[in-house]
Amino acid sequence: MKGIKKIALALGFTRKRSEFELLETEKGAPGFLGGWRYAEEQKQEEKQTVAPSFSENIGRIKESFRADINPDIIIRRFAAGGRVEAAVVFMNGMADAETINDYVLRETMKKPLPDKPPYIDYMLKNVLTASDVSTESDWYKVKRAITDGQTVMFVGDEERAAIIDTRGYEHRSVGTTENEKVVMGPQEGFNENLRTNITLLRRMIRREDLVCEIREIGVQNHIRAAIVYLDGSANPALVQEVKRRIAGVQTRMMSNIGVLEQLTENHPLSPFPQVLTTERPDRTSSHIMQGYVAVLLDGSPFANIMPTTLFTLMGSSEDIYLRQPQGTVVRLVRYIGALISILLPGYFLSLVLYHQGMMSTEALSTVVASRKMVFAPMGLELLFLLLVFQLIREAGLRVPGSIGQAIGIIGGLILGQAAVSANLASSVMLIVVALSGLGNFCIPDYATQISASYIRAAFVIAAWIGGLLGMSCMLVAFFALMASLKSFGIPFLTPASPKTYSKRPAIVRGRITMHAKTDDYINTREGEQL
Amino acid sequence: MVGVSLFTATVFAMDSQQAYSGGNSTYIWMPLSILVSLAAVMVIMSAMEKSGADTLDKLFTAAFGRVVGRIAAIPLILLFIASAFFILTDFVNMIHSFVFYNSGYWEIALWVLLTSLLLSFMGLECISRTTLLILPMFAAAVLAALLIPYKSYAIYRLSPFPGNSLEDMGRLTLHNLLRTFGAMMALLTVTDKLCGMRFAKSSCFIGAVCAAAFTALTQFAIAMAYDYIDLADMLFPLYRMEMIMVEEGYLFRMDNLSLFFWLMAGITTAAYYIYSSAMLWCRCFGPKDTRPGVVAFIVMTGCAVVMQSEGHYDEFRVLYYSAGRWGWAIISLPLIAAAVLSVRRGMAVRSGKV
Repeated sequence: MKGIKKIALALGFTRKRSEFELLETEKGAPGFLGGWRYAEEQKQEEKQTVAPSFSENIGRIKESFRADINPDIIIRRFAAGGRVEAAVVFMNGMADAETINDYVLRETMKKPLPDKPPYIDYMLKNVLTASDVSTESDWYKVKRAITDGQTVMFVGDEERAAIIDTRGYEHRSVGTTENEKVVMGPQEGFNENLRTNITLLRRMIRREDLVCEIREIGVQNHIRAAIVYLDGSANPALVQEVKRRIAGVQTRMMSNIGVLEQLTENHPLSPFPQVLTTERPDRTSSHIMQGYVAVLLDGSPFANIMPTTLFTLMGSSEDIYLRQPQGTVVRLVRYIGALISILLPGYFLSLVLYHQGMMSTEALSTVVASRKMVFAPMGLELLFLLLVFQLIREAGLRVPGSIGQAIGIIGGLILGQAAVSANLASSVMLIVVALSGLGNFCIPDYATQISASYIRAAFVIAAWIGGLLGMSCMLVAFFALMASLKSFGIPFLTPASPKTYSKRPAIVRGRITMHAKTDDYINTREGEQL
Repeated sequence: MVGVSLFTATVFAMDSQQAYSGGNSTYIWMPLSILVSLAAVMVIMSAMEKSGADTLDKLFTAAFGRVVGRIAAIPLILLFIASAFFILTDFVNMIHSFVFYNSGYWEIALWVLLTSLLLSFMGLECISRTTLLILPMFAAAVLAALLIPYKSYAIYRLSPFPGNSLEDMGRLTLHNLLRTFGAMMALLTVTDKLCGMRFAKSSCFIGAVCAAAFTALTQFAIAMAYDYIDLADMLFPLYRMEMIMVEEGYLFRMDNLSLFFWLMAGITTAAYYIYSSAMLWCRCFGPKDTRPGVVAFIVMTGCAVVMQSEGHYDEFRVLYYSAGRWGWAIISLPLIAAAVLSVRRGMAVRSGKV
């Protein structure tokens, strides 16, 4: 045994798995994460604080929020305790007026105040019955609180303001998922309200170390985002990297999580998304439980999960709900569908144009017979049909539900038949394009579906020019492109290339006990254990 | 990556006349040459480990100083470029001879060269990951090529067994060393990017042993399919074997498909050599970016491909195989000297004499 150990040592076989760290982070992180932009803006405003004059504070508010022409800003003056001059300031529609009336105004007007200031601390302890209250002297934060739907209360000439959480704007209730439908499994999806989305996650992850760090994203227009992760499980380097990138986002308008995705990923020009976007709370929570990090954005009914790999993008939440053999078959069909979608048109074109010897005489005769009257070159015909397919798909997506389905049927059946009758396309080619289109729909992720459709066109062009030679060169380039991608420091093709020690198979669905373990490449704090 | 490069060098980029000059024994001496090269590379790696040099250029510099060290690295750079050239040339020849015989040689070469350039540009990480992705398809294509013609295998074709003589086998093993040595030496230029020398050692060992096993299997199948007199005049026997054997089967035209899977491995191998040569060049001569070197070496390789297609093929091959006879000595002697000198210097530094 000693001899074998010596040989193994000499050949370098003695390294521990923990020595290999896949996750790579970029240097140059901001000094204090997320706070740097805030600090810069504050510097611009010369660190303004709440003034020791009631009238000056109200004047500032009026000026900042253009109260003379902006009826949305409500400044309600009143006498606190019946004698001290006070005012509550809030944004109409963003704050819940009922809460303000019942738990702020009524209480403050009725209950007596001490003879001398400071009044605010006393009010927080004895007067205000709202659940979430605090004091703030930073003028910048006071303004942010108002735009955020909170209520700010100025009392007398105090240099602080009370901030009361009265957010209560209108939002859609929790509904069913629209784009990631499953037969088995929960049907509810995220909505546009950040708090509701966080609650949906908390309802599924009942762990005390589930952290939801709220950060403001964007310059000037500060949209709230939640970075959600398990503090006791997620790799700290990964969490830091996510925070670093979010802190670096510089945009005036953060309307949707898709914008955030593009601003935080490594390769914005890559055809593949490097972040998994999902509208399913169950999928998000399952990833968080495995040590991934999720980002939710206020006003966006989706979650970004990072890092992501090709195999994550090809997964569906239903895989885990099915039994192992069923799940495996479903997954395999999905991968075969993706391969057919990307490779079949190009492969067929190269066989017919350059490698007729690989086809049997019968197959070749059928192709030739079906193309007898088609005037366009075969490559052009194929590209035309792929374009028509994309047109039908795009038209079907943009028009309302039932009409969209009708367009799909009309496009698929009538237009296809008409094209064959008019000798614009051959029936064999139509079948190839239809198969390829069906395969494309097997890809669960919408962004990957779109990518696959234009990668398919690239393969068709390569096959048209160079046959299987073109296809194989394009395939190498395609693999190289995927191999060069990284999602938040994790190689896009992990755990297949580079190989990791993960016990969870990448393509087939492994045993349910394997799925309870975390992915090796995430390097969670808990290791591979539950 | 090492395994695929070794297999490609010993199965596809093979001179049939030379390989079968000693009888039908390629399945013995080709794996043997891989294992001999592996042993030599392991010794060099151990020397590097002991001297503290984590890459080849540092070994040369530590042993010979900066100026002589640079000169000593040039033959290796040329070896890598030549290895890339011969692999690309052989694949382009194969495609030109069997698939696109009406197309221009240069048109075929352009596809392959541009893809290699792209891959070399993307760097070692990308090359190795792409190779890993291609590996299952490549292995399946090779195994299919061995299984399809199983009816044609005959033991009697192995005669004379094992080859003409042990002397011939020893000679051929030595002459083949340059090709097998190059694939593993290329790894030594990038050891610092492979989580250190120990990881490089283990991966080199696994790659070389797997390649030796696969080479032995493939060459053994080829040897059972044809006798050595036929093989000596045959270009690309593995392709021919798949091409003619299954006329009555359903898979009678799998040869074209297999060829393009092999080609993908050939492209990654060429990219690996080109990247290694550019990396060694940069490390020895100072540039911080490998990409200009990669472009230059691909252009050199492309020019050589054009030259050989325009009637200079034999000259190139004679040059390569003449170099192959004693080239291993030219390459390995400075390496051995460098290893010994650097270990001695390393020991001297540790003992405080320097």
